[in-house]
Amino acid sequence: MSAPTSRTSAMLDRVLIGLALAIAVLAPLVLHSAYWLRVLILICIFAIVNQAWNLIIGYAGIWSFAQLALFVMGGYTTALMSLNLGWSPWLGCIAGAVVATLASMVIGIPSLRLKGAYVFLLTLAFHEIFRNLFILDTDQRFGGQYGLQRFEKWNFGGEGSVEKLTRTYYVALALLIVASLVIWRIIHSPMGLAFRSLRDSEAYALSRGVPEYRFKLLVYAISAFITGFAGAFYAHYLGSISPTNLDFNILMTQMAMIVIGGWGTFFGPILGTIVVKLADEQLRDFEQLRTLIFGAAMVATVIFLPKGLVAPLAALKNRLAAAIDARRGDADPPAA
Amino acid sequence: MSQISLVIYQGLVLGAIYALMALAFTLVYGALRFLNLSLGALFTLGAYVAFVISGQLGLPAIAGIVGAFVLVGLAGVGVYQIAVRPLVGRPGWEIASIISTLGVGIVIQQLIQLVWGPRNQAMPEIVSGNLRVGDVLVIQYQRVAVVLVSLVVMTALWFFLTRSRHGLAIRAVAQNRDAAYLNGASVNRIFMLVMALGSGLAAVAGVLLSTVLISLNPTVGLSYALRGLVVTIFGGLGSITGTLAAAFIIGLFEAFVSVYLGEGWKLPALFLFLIVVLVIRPGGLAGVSAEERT
Repeated sequence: MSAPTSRTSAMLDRVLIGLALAIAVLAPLVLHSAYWLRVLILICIFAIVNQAWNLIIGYAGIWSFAQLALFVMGGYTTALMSLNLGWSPWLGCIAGAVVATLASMVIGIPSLRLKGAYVFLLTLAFHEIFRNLFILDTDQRFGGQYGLQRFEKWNFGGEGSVEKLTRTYYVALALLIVASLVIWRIIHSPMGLAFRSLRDSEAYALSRGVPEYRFKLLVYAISAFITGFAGAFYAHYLGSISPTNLDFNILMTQMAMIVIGGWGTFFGPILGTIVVKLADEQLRDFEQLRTLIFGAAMVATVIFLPKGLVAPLAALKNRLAAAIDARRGDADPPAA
Repeated sequence: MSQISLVIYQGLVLGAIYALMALAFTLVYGALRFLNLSLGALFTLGAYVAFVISGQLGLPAIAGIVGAFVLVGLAGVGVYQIAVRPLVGRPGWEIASIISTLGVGIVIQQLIQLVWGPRNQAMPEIVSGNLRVGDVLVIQYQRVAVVLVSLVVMTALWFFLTRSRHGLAIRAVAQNRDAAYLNGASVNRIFMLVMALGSGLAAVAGVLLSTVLISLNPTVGLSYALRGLVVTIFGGLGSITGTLAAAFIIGLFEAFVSVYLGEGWKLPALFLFLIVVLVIRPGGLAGVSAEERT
């Protein structure tokens, strides 16, 4: 690709991101319904989790399936802090993020020395252990199967449910933007480069002295911190957290979001979250079919669109950039 | 003392079923180097096929087992053609095939639920009657039959792998795909054969388990697929003898936990056990070397 094309392409990137942000900011004013605001808030929260998950599964090559466990752990932490110690939700969010980070180290230290299928199974094992421990909790410290309820919900002021939800949505959107910026910085840092080199040519990367294990632990911790924070935010949004948040179907839906959007791409998880969540809402009346459709869509995407839905969109954008370049080239040839 | 005999009895029955399930994973992993996560759903499908043949059509139990093996084996070939074959050889295909077989598994499980409904169904007995030994242990002939069927299937598999040309080709592909190809083995056909065999084994495991549980439902496969994976990894991915030993060790361990700690602790204890094993001995029982742990 020649230099002017990539410059136009970068400019188009900025225009498109600006457009997407504008739509995200204006959406509540246009939709102005409690139902749609709830959908948008959940999209923001799950997009954060999926971004963090994609960072490790798509970029760092860690096939971790403990992401939902870390998310729920953040929620339980803040719920317990709120119920027992009366902590404020924001403090609880930080506590949730810290606990999820510590838990990720408990998972990561034995798992991340291993590879591939072993990581997949060990992390899934942790997921199952957490789920069972919450359900088995007979002395009701964690509320057993019903989980924890009746703790403080977010209150960012405002009158009426639409106004309240609008404010919560803007906070969630801000969190999504911050999390995405952090993840963008990591991907484009020397560490991100190291990960891509590990993913694409492991032997070469190791021979150049990339400290694989330490980097993996670090990125796993960062991902867990973001995920735990999102989990705590989610718990205070719903005002409840329970082991059903760890259901296999939910894990699969999250997976479908990343895969359909495009794993290993920056915008893929966000796009996938929006597409799958909206489809999910449309299919509400077909409880049975919806898991089937997501499963089939996941298989079809892996086979026909390995980079997910962002790939054709990116191709479209590049063609547009080329077209702009061609027109500009006719009118005003670039200076040599 | 009687508690111990209960543990051994239950452990042997579970081990016999886990061995089939784990052999399914290990055969496929050994030859194709990927985890076939559709096996959990195929396990359930096998149980439903036998339920239709023996329960609803009233044919003998052996027809149900053979029918499940054959039909689910064919389904396994279908899974290979649809979800695995287009991916083989692509960069990063190991994770891609994990995701696509997981997706296919979800589809199969949901289809089972659409056809037979989400509720439990009663599974017919293979053999009735039981034998009382001492004051705690009651040996059901049903479970003895389950262990016998599992042993017969494993023996047949062993003869197939060691004595037949196709078995030789499977082992050759597992050891070195390119060399096997250069020596005239049709790798694609071997892959299909392996997928059929693995799926068939999972199906028989599903039939046997549901006869032990005397019931079946569409989600039974998931937790048993996880157990099968635990056994496979513990045994050392791709090693058949390691897998067999691991299946009975895990079966006994699970029976021990459920007798002394209670049913609910089975899965958490199992996973903690696996984590400890992998930290101490990452290659599993068979001791796969570090380079092969990919």
